[in-house]
Amino acid sequence: MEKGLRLSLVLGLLLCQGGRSELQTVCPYRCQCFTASQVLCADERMSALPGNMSRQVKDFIVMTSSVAYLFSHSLEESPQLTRLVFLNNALRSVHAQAFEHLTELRELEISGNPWLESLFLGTFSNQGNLTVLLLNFNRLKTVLPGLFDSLKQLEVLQMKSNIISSLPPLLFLNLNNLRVLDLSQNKLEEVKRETLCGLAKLEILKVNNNLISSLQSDTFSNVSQLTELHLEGNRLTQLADDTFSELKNLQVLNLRGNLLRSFSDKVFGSEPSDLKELNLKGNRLIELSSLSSLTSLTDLILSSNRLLNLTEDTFRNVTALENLDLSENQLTSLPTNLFRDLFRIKALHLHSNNLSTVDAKLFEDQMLIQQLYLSNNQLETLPAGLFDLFATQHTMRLHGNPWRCDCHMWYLHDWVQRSGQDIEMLDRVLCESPLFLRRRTVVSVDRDQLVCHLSKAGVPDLNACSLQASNDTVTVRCKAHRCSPVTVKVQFVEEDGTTTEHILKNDPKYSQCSNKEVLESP
Amino acid sequence: SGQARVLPRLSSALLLWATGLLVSGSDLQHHRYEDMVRALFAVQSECPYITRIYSIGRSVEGRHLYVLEFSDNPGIHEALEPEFKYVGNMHGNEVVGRELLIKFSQFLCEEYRAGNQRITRLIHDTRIHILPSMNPDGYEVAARQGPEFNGYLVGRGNAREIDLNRNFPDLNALMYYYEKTNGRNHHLPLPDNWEHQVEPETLAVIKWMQNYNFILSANLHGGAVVANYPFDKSRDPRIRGRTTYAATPDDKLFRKLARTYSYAHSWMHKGWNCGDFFDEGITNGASWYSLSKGMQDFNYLYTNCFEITLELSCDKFPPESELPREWLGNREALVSYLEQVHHGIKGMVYDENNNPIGNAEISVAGIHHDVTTGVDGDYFRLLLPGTYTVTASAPGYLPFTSTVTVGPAEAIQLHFYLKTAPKQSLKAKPHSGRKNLSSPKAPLKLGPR
Repeated sequence: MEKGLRLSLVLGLLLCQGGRSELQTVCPYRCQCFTASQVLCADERMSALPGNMSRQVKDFIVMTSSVAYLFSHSLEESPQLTRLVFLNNALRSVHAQAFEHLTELRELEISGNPWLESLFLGTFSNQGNLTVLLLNFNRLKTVLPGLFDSLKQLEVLQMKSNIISSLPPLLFLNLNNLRVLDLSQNKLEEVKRETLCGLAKLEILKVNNNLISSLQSDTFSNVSQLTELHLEGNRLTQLADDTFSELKNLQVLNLRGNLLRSFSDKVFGSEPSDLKELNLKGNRLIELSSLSSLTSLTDLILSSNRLLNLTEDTFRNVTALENLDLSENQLTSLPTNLFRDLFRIKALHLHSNNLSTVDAKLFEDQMLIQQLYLSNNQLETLPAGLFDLFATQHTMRLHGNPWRCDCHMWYLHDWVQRSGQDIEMLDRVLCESPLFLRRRTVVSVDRDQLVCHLSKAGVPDLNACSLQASNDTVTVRCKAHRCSPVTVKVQFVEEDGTTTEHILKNDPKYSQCSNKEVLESP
Repeated sequence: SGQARVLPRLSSALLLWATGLLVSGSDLQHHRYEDMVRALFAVQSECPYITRIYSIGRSVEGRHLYVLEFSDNPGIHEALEPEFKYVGNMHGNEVVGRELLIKFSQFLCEEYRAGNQRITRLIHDTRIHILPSMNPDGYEVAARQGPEFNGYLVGRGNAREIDLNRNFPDLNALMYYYEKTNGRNHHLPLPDNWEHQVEPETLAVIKWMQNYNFILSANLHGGAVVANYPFDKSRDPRIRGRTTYAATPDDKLFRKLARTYSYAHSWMHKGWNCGDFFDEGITNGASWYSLSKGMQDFNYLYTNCFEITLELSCDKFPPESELPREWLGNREALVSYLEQVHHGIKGMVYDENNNPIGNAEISVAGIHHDVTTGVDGDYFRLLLPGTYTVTASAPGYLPFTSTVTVGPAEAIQLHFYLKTAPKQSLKAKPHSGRKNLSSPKAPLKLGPR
């Protein structure tokens, strides 16, 4: 009897303990708990938030569920949460008091709800500790004035990819600690000065991929601490002088994919700018005025524009430049001094243009170059000595040019043989002419095959040659009209049929086109 | 690094430290599991028409192995459109690949939206699968320690501390035996009971390979800077300490693939990295050190997929501030390598009624590694430029041989129409393309073990 009682007591104790420990570690149905402080639910069959969550949970992540509504009581049992994430659910409505008890919250995300069209005033009124608020990929049309007023500690606010067409003035007035504001991929037609009021500490502003067609000269006067400004993918056709002149700390400016026809450093005002990166890719730039006030610029992307030519002073004083991308334009030639004093260039992209010539001194100051892309141009030849000053190991792209594999190619050919390892896609560096070498790779051509079949203009008229024979010397005298290297091949056929060949090259550099006699004896 | 900016020196190593620390670097960070999942879903939300997220299974601790797919028709294999994969973070503490693949996904999406022609074309012509973390449990172990304190081995293995890159079925021994006996040269049989001998992460990846006809792949690691190509396992394991080059029949092609990455990478091709030297930034796996049961060799021996292993950084778990430099150094290489999937030949194998023949064999004379058609009857054979004699064969059909010249550009399309074999020749050996003058013996076919 006593024994039985004792046994049941022990059992009871065990059960009790078992029950308690189970309570502590229980993970809500259809959720995962990798640590005691985190619950992650990713199950489309879940249509309501789980109840009795442990009070230890700080992180609560609900994704790809079918939860459609957050009620005022949905989260009242978890006031200790510091991070709450709703991602790709089916939320249609969030009650104004849904987060009322979550005063500890530091990070809140409500993203990826294609039916969430608005948020009620007061939704975030108790979130004074919130530092990160992400409201991306919903269907918000606008934001009510005052919605963010209590978020005094907020540092990051994203409302990326909604359908916001305008924002009320003074919406961000109390967000004095905000560092990052992302309004990209909406339908904003303009950015108003008053909307940015209060954002004195803002460092990064993303308004890219909107419908912005113009900016005023005072648009950014309230966000003078900006270091990064993203305006890519808008409809800007021109920029007035001084548009960015208030932004003394601006380091990154992205204007890619707008409709700009010209660009001038006057948009930064008259003083030298601290800008480090400027992206103008995919505009309609026909011309580029001098960028000489951009003395700190390290990265400049000008690819995919309509540039036909550049003036010699375009990059004057832009001497901090390290990466310069001029690819996918219509450049036919470049001024000899275009890159002068740009000693720090590491990557120079000139591919996909119409370059047919390159000046021998073009890269004279780029001794530190590490990457040079000349592919997909109209280059037939490169001048001797072009790469001689490159001091560091570098990679090069030369394919997609109609290389003329004749005597003018000796420099390039030697260089390819010597530095073939540095050339990417060497198997695509092909001879276009002469016909008998067409489609052959340059690297596979023998140096002896690089001969100049004198063109009609340069070839001496053989009819005008005179032949003289005296003793055992034969003299062929021809009159050349042009000063070009001449190769004379003399073949001796012995009686036994063996052939010896002597090749004689007349390099005009040394001969200076004098009427020199060239003699060769067997 | 600030100093390097001010004082340019001829030392490229120093210079590279200063490379574009700012360029689009603001969003590069380490991602814990939930942050990675959020980042992947954000890409999916941003580019919904060209992406899909699916899970190939779960880790030991139950984390999903999420794959982000890019394609103009996500979720569908289109005939003649090759499948490509990038796998990161197989070793939990080698985190650069994981972050690069998250960033690469964002990059593909953003560039597609911005109308970048090269990226648009790539997404239209390729089905790209990205598994940023094959070992999410190991990552959490490593990340809990953080970049500063991460030892060499903490978090390398999965939750059971099994090294996943030593966990695949070993097919090399059988391959090396078949090489001598003129046996099967592709799709080697898995050992019995293999499902019970591998970890859940490995199992998930093998099933993944069975379900998709991957053609090209790379597996992103850390701890060195080199592009490593198969075989990883030495042919002669008895020579200890000294390992020997173990070439595959596709050695030249693998070297080209590895070189494509190393040269498009900002510094890998220079050879000197992390105190090691690799000529051109590439190495044969076995000639570096022999490794058994790795994923790379398994790809080549069990599937149509050619995989290389990319070692990307000296520091396996570098501080966040290093990530922008890694991204800039790898961005072009990640794109260029992906583009390699479009070289060589591809085509359909049909029967007389224009029905596609799945699992037909495509043999290239002189290269003893056949590939097979997918269920849609399409095949892809990566090849270097040159002229090749190609034979398609399938059980019950007469083999057909064609000659094709491959150029350096896009893959050449070469289709086959096979005639039904007369009854008596039905027994004909399926490896008709592997007629080898030096070993006229009929192929030795071993049943699955």
